[in-house]
Amino acid sequence: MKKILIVDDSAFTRSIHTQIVEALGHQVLAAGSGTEAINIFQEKHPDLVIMDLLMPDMDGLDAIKRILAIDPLAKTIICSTDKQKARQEEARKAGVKAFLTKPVDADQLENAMSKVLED
Amino acid sequence: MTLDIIKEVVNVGIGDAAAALSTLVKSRVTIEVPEIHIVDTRDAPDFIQNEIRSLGVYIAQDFSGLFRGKTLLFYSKESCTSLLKALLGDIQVTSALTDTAIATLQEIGNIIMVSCVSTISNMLDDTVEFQIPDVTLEISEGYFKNLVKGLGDLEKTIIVRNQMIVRDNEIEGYFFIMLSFSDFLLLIEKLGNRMLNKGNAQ
Repeated sequence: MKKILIVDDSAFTRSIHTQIVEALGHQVLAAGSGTEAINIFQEKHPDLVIMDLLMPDMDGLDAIKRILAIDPLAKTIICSTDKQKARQEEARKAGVKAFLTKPVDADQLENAMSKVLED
Repeated sequence: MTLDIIKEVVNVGIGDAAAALSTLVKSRVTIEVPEIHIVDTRDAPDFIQNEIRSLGVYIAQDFSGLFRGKTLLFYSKESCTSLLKALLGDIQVTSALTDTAIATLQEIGNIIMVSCVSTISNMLDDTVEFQIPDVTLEISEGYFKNLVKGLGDLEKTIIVRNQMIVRDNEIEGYFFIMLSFSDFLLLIEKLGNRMLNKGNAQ
């Protein structure tokens, strides 16, 4: 069982992702903002962070950069409605391991999580 | 020509939005060919008044980049209820929207609008920044009149009337893309060039 931090300002999406991740047998930590995610990351050291991009307090990619500054080996996946190629490239350069376009189905999320966790 | 370019882009965007909804409801979403109108934004309230006479939900989102503007989604209360039922299961229908319903609609609006504008942005090899969407429950005429007053230079509005069937429920919605006249021309020029180049390459 891995500890997975799900970060999304939408309670609707958090609940969908939580159902998928819990059904895979993992423990879920949830955050509704980038700031909350950074605090939880520092305190709980999750094995993987699944991060939204568009959030009110902080862009998800900025939050990931701050998480990677705390732990350069942190494993991160972006899961966003924003499917722009330039954003995906920016995320890849920042060290994000996978980029998924919302909404994701269970298979997509499971495949991405498996690859990133095994990496 | 202008309408053909917009139709081409909108069809891709609406198709992507339907695919996104289909993933969420875990069921096939059928879409009808969208009806598209391009109007001056100042004329949009009259146009809408003729089309929409019911209480409805608006989801609005600002974006900026090579071109900037506002996108807006409108669903009548009936369509909204059908959409929420398809997504959340049986919900209690009340005159006010619950926090869960608002949060769900905000995310649906986000998925549909960002999907459409990202499609355009990718076609132009550009990057657009999005703001968090707002959800408003309003009577169309009043909302639109107030909205248009505050739009400044967003003089052109692309109106897309779309119908989807989600789990046997017909959902009719309106999608608006509001741009300045210069951004509208820039968008048409760039998309037209891209399509022309693509056509010549084939």
